[in-house]
Amino acid sequence: MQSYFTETLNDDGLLTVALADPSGPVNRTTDRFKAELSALLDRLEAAPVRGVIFLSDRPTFGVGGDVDQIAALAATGPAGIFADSQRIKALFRRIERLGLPVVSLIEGLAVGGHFELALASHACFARDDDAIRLGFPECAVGLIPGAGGLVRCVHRLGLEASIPLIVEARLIPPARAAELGLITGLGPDRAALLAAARDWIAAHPAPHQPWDRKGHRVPGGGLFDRRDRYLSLQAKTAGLIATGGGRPCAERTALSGICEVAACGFADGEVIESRLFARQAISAEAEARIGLRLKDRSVLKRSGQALDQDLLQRLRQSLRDEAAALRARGLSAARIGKAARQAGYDPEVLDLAPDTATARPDAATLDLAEIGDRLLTAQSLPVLRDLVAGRLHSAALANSGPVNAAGFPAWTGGPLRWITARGPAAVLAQCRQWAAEASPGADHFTPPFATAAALQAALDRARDFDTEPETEQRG
Amino acid sequence: MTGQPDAFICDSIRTPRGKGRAGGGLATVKPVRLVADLLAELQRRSGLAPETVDDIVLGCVSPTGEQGGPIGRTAALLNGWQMAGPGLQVNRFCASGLEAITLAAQKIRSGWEHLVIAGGVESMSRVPMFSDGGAWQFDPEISGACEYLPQGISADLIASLGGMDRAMLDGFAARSHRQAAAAWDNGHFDRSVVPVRDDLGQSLLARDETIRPDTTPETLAALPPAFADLGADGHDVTALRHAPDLATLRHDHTAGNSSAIVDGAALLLVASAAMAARQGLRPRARILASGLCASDPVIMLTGPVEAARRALRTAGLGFDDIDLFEVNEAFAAVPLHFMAATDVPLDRINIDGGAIAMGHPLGATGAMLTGTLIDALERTGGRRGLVAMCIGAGMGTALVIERI
Repeated sequence: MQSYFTETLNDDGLLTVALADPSGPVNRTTDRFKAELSALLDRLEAAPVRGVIFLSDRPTFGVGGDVDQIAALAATGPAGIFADSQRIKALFRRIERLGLPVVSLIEGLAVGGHFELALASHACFARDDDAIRLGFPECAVGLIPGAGGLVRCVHRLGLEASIPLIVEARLIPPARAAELGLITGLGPDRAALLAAARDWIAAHPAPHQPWDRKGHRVPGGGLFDRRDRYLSLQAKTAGLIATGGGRPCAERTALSGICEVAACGFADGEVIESRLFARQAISAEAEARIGLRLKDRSVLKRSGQALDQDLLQRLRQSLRDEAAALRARGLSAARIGKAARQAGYDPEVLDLAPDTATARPDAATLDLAEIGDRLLTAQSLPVLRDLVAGRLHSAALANSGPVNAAGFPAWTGGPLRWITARGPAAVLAQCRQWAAEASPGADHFTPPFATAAALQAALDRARDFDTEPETEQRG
Repeated sequence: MTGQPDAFICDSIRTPRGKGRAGGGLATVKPVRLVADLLAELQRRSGLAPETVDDIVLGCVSPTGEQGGPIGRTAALLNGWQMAGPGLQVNRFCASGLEAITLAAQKIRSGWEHLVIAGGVESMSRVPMFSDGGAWQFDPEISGACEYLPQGISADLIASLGGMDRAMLDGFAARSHRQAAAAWDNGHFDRSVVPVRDDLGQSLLARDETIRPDTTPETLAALPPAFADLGADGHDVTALRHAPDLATLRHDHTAGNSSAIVDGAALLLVASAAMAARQGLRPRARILASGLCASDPVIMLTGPVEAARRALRTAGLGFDDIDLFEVNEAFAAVPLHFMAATDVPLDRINIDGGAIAMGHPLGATGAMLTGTLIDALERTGGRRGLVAMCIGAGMGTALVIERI
């Protein structure tokens, strides 16, 4: 098998390391990447060169972690993922402490772990092309940066400037990164970038990162070092809670991590980042968001499938039926609407007639969480029925179709992932109870499964729908 | 003394103490989390019903930043105690954790409250000492008018006036490490210390981090004076003006014979007999009396003697009636002065080591000392114990307890 790193030692004593992930067309920070980086560092520590330049001849510099490897490790529990996060951090720390200059040259997309590699380099020069994007997309898929990117971003830019980049996962062109001070400089092409790298190496024969210098502090300090800062961040937190329905989410984890890291030492910050990364990596949220954003999207792009109109119609109707049933029990439109919003729905889709003065105040009420569960369950059942009836043949479609076309909340990852996370037995028991309580003729909670085992088997079968024909291409 | 309910300590737990700086064992844990996890453990051990908790009184000496506000209430909320567990933050400088227990006892003896969780917390790595400022120490006008002195200078002054030389101080410090290491090795802290874990469940710290069992007076002798530079700034002149017959001020306190800067938290469960019976809590010690005093602010750290006298007077007892003492080792001169002034022998003082070895997490220390004392009384079969602490600005406080 080909290696990830191709090393060329030039006449001037500079080692060029070209990155080309042998496992796919796009560079990822795979186990192989870590192993080869470790071996490279062993050699450099034993026999230093004048300087090292990381670059890639591919269109992208790299996109960081392999979500399948992260998911597989996360399935073993938090300890493995924490240790893995600490392992790549330790490698990046060895780069910083080599005592010789290491420079990254970016000529294409550099996000996630590969951007974190660039930040761990003593200098980074990027092609001045506004089509190129750099940054931390992790929060968009329910993760946070886990290879020291959060810590380095905070230690370079300070607390406030890190928030849009990490919490809002805002990717930026190289010119903006240079302006912020995240990268060292820009160049029009490979020749110019190499020249800039050579000049920088010549001028900095034994560089240290700012955080390895005595007296270093995070620019602007920690959360509580400025009164206006923590007062204004209160609003940011409130906003994330409101938009996320109060559920824990990567954005809140990242914001909390940025604030904490800004107030402590670099190594403690690394531990905190790894801990928060592990928390997110093992979360149902990450599974849901990675599933929808990355996996389902790529399956559907290939298959071109879409939900049929009949199912789409029933998905919309099931919500309206349940909303009507709740109104008929005397629940206010205000309560149902709030519950829907908290569960991640746009209340508009429920077609709720506004409350009138005659709303029964003594009606038996349900709490917001239960109403939300009823809406999610009511809308999941049409998907299950079609699955059983053999009318749906793609888990990717069964999950992302309702999210994209029928308002099913994205945080769940789609109906099948939501049921899996809730536990099939619990969902089934709940359906039976609600079906038994329903007024005569209302059968939208009648489950299409007699046993939890049957439901589980259907979910397992569905999981294989998309993966079987795909095995070859994953390689 | 009729009608006043007794206050009983039913349980006592603490975290191990981590080095109070970047990289310390607890430096990646928020102080409110230290308290919340101890609250959960106290609830688990005692089976107490949260809604019966009348108050959570916590000492905290830098109640600012992430340690700000009534941190006990924040911890209760973090544990889901929405409708239970009010919180009160107490600042009596270094004795805040002891003051919290005194307050809890007073609440219960008043008959107005029946079950109080008392203790303290200080993350000195995350909220460094002096983060909350203070006019007494830092306002040029006020600190000048109050003749403020840094505590280390006062400790050096006590040593110089008391004829304690460097060897005496280092000898006492080495003993602290020896006793603390032996206490750990013999399991003396096993009941009370709750290891700290991160939110992934990984163990962060299970043992006090600053103990160095191989410490000897000889190794300590190599350390440079900690407060000579401060003295040279001008504080020596102030100190010597207050001791007109003292020719020179010796700076014999070092990082080795002063208390270590650490992170930690401790909680005690204090209840009336009726409430303890109702909840099936077993009283371990009765709180007999407390004593509080203000003394010479320049000498500053000899208050424990007068505070102990006052507490004993209230309890109707003398020094001979006390089996074991915990005198906070803020500086080696403090317990040495206490022994010289009271004739209490070394073998009844700090028998499981003290803050020189294990550290002084300011707001929590008083609660830790009280817990250690209860464990020691139970182990040795002693009947009564006394905790005494020196405090900034010349205050002193003491608490007398009786094993059940």
